[in-house]
Amino acid sequence: MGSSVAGPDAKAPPILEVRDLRTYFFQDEGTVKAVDGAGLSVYAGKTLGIVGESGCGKSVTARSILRIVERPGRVVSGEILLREDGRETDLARLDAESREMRQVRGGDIALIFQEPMTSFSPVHTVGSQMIETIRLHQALDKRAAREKAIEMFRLVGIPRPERRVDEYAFQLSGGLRQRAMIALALSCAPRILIADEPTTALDVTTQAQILSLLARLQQGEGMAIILITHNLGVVAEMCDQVAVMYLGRVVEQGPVDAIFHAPRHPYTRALLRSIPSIHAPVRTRLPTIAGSIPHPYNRPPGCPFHPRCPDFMPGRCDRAEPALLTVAPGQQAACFLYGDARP
Amino acid sequence: MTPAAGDDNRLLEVRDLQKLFPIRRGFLRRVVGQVRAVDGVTFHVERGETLALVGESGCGKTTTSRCVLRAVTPTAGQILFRTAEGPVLDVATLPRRQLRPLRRQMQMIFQDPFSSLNPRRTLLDIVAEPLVANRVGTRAERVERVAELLRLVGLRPEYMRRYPHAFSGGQRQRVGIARALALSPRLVVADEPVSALDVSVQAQILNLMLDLQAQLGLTYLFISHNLAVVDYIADRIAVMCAGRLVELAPKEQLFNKPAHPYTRALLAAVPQPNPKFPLDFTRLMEDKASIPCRWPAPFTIDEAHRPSLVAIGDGHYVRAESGAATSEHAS
Repeated sequence: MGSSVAGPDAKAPPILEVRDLRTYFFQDEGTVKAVDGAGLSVYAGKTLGIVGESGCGKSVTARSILRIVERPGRVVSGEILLREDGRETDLARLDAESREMRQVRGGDIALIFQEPMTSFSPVHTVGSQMIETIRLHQALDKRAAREKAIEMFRLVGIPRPERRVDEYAFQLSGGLRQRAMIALALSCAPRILIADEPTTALDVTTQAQILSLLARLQQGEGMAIILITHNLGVVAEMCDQVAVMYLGRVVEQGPVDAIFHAPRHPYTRALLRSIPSIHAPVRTRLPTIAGSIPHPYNRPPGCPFHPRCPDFMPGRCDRAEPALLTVAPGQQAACFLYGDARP
Repeated sequence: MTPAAGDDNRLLEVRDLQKLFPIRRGFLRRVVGQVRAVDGVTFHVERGETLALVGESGCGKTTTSRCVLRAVTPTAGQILFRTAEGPVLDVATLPRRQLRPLRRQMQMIFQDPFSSLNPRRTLLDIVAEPLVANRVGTRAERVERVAELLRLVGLRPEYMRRYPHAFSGGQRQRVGIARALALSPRLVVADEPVSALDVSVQAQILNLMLDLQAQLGLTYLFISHNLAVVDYIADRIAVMCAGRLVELAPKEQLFNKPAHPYTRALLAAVPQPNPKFPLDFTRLMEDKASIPCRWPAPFTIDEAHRPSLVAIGDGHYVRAESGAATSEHAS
């Protein structure tokens, strides 16, 4: 587990590399292994999509990278390597409350939350929250920070930004609020933007505008994006690389075309087949994935997908966990169909 | 769009439905204006078919469905429902007392399977509740009926003594469906029944709804914002925007020949799960697709223009000023 993908530009090392990350939640009822050996590589100027259903650990992975996992959760092991100009920092080893980590949060890596409504303080204007963030990371006085906030609002396409900065989050529509959130995240020019379901709460037309905005900003700034979503349409639209997660593990990863046109892992295949599409030929019956996602306390032994897998091999899949194996150039899958990875 | 009055294949017929909500301001909560949540909505649902209402949040699709169930009383318009006993009743104006027997014939499937099931009641209590409320059967008969319903939706009857927390989202939604079917309703209103579910479970529930429709001859009014889901389950689709129904057509017709600029914008904005079909971002960014007064003629809706639904053939209707212009847009 946890080895990196050969990226689109193999010469430049990934600016963020997650290796064998484990984040567990220690509860009275038992331990929930929300992330259990996930590995990811993020390259400058590229978009990595993390796909998976509820409980697959995609959001906890993002929170682990920023070290904002809430108690009783804890990063148990693994490496989170942030690289800049040849320097390498392991975020997993930093104290979550430390000065260094606070500089990373919002400075190097910014996060856009799913709920634009609840991510803003209801009792401060959106402008004052932005000014606070900008002044935390940059040596600017209040007036200059305000100018910067207005400029960011203009950049993300908020009309009449000089008036909008003095409004409260509830005065903005869903789309505008998400734009304000993006402006806030981008205000300190992060090298990596983590967008956790950035468009799930939005209408399709607004979603398209937000995606377009992200793509445009990425081109301008050369920023890397980690896009977390369960919407495969959004992934196809935005991503260069895709990691498919299931129950805390990356089960398949590779370039976007390979994931959509030549998926190898049975879960990826089933997931792609089970989504309705407006370009599907005629009404053919949707193939489904049998059963449902196991409860986190009852994690199946062996491969986590085996109880639902159409290619289940008794005595093999329920005994050992498959490791990620290279199945095609740049593409890896964790499945015994492609051999045994045990050295 | 005028109906053949004696067409008894029409289970539900909504005519010029309007619902205004007052806007209250100030200390005395005086009415200072009105929100047109639904305005001039006209459609019908035939027996055994699925009509989908699609649109973005705030377009009035849920208010329309709530009017049909008379959960809210419409401001104006008719909601004609053909009862099992034969006569056609206007749900919009029926007095409360006469509504009660009618409610047995219309049931609802809710969006959120977590908040729509009482956590302190067993599946038996939940699914039998409509039967108890309508005094159907003895206790033993009700248990029998619940077992049958659970089997119908693909759950084991042994589960009936358990509480909702023991079940996953998809299983809970099955319970919600079993409850909706308890009284053998003629019309099932499903408001975003799969949007709270995981992708892999969504397909199971959609297939279940199709199977039940084939098996029991159910009629669905299906409300969704997801065009791909609607494409899978619906026979005909009605697109709503800003409280108005802007286009109504059989599914293939709507997807292949969308006539209204809003429908086109909506279809163009759906990202495809295929990297070979990228969205046209430049077009999407300039679009003000959901503002009726910015739509080009003959679709413009403002003070001076109040277009109505015009038939353009093959059961396809579009809201436009009647005239030659619409037919060329349809082609």
